[in-house]
Amino acid sequence: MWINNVYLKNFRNYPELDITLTSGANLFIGKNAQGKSNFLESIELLSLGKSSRQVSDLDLISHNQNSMQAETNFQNDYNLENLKICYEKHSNNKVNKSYFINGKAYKTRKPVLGRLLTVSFKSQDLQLSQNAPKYRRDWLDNLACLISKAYLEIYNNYEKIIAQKNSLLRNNFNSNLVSFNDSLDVYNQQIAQHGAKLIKFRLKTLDRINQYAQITLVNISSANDNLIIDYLRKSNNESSKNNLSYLNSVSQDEFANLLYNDMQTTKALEILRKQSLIGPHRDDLEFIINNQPAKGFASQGQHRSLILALKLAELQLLEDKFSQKPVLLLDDVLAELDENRQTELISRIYQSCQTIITTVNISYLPKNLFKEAFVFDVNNGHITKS
Amino acid sequence: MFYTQPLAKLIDEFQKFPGVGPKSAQRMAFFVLNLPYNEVTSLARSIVECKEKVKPCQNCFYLSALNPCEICANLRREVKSLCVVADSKDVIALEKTREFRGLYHVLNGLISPLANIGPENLKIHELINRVSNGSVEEIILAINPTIEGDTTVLYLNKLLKHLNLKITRIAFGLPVGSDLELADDITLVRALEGRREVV
Ligand SMILES: Nc1ncnc2c1ncn2[C@@H]1O[C@H](COP(=O)(O)OP(=O)(O)O)[C@@H](O)[C@H]1O
Ligand SMILES: [Mg+2]
Ligand SMILES: [Zn+2]
Repeated sequence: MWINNVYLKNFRNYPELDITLTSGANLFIGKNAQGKSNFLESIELLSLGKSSRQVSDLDLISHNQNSMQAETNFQNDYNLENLKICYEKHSNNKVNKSYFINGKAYKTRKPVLGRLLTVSFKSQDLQLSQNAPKYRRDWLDNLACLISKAYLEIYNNYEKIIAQKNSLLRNNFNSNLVSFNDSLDVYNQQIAQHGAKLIKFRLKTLDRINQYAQITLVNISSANDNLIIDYLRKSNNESSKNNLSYLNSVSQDEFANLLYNDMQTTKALEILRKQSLIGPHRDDLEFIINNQPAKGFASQGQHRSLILALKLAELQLLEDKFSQKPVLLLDDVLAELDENRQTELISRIYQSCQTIITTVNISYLPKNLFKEAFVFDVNNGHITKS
Repeated sequence: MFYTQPLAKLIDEFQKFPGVGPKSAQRMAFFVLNLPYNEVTSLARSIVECKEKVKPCQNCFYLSALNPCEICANLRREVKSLCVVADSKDVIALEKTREFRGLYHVLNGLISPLANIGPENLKIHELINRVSNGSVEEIILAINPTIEGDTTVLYLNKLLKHLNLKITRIAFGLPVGSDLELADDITLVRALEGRREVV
């Protein structure tokens, strides 16, 4: 699939933008802080229905403005589709969000998911294997949402329960002790039920990603490195086994029991810290190359191959699932890759995938990319085709 | 603004109503101005009278001008089954179906620490007192299948389960995240028939 055009109004530093893209490579060149990442963020917004950055909804609206709008017309194999998302600032800084698919209005982002397929690869992603666990969970959760909308519901419900339990731990401890204990136990029951469902779904998604990631890593690393993404369930039980093949054999009910028992033993600590400490919102992923965790063991080059493999796996997974080629978004990342890895990525681009690439300096990009590419200059919230 | 002061104030007041924005508030205010004087005073009197007379029933907490309310005072209702709901509006939805012949208990909300609503803020203590006197045999929890609804059901179940009552929750036919108040009668009737034991 490919994006025909993008229209932005009061989105971040863009007062108004109306831009037409080519179905091949689109290069956006500009100095720092001109709006390159903001532009890609607007496309991800239209793809996921929310920003992929960990920001408040308010940040997407230009400073000193009360509303923003992002809209795109894109072509999939069957027809031309239109997506539009509007954020409107309300009193007490709440943001009213509306979503339009081919003109029809929706109140939640759920129907937007899975329409405009994108895979985004940013320079920050190169730190994925070394970063905080939250980044790895988000990566998996976002992908799981794209693959299945049922996951979005499971995820949202789980987040609500955690928010309620955290609020109870923070504020209600001084009220009646019996009702506090009963409420806490009810939340633990709910976390166990919903958390078990969430973990099962994540494991299923991970299984699929693993099938693709193993193949792609073998393709790009001449040394034939072997990659497995493992799921680390946070548990206070030291002896609990935690590898994928074991976890896959655990039933949803068994997970619910494990979670509930873990929360029982951590209860005192949770009350002390006023925070929910057990459950899939604290779990992590581990990338294992040749039977060793990448964190700590892998070379800089292996880390890069690893992330590249993940991104190529994402592309292939989405393509197989939807029978459509996703749009590839590369933010400042090509310059970070060496020639071999650039070649691997670019060979993919020429397999007819629309690509949107940003860079500070055009000379960082491989020359063969310019054949038939559209080149744009990004300058302080304005984009011109050169 | 361009409105003369008393008109501006009225539009402001109307805007406090749920679902009423500035445009509708303006329309409502002009409607009031065009009404005959006696209809306006009658409207104003109804608002005040309603506020003065309609209070929670001291038995079931359903909003009524009578105490005990019309439902509690009706001797033909079966005292052995008690239907627990979050809100008076849910009682109205269920009464419209004419299926349920028992009594109600209105909790006045659902447990939500984020909204500063704990069990103490709901009529849960009163519910326990009510069922402890022995005439209730069955409790039907007609509570929306949201996270907060689930929390409240599980909490009530904790307090009620050792009282040797039959406890069921209506669930059948109500899609997850749906609102009892908005459910149509047929859906509600099916939900009542298909109620099941709370785990
Ligand atoms: N809500 C907003 N309103 C106005 N400007 C914004 C907003 N959010 C970010 N910016 C501006 O956008 C610029 C950063 O753009 P970005 O796309 O990250 O730059 P780059 O071209 O380096 O990728 C900064 O100058 C920042 O002040
Ligand atoms: Mg940038
Ligand atoms: Zn009553």
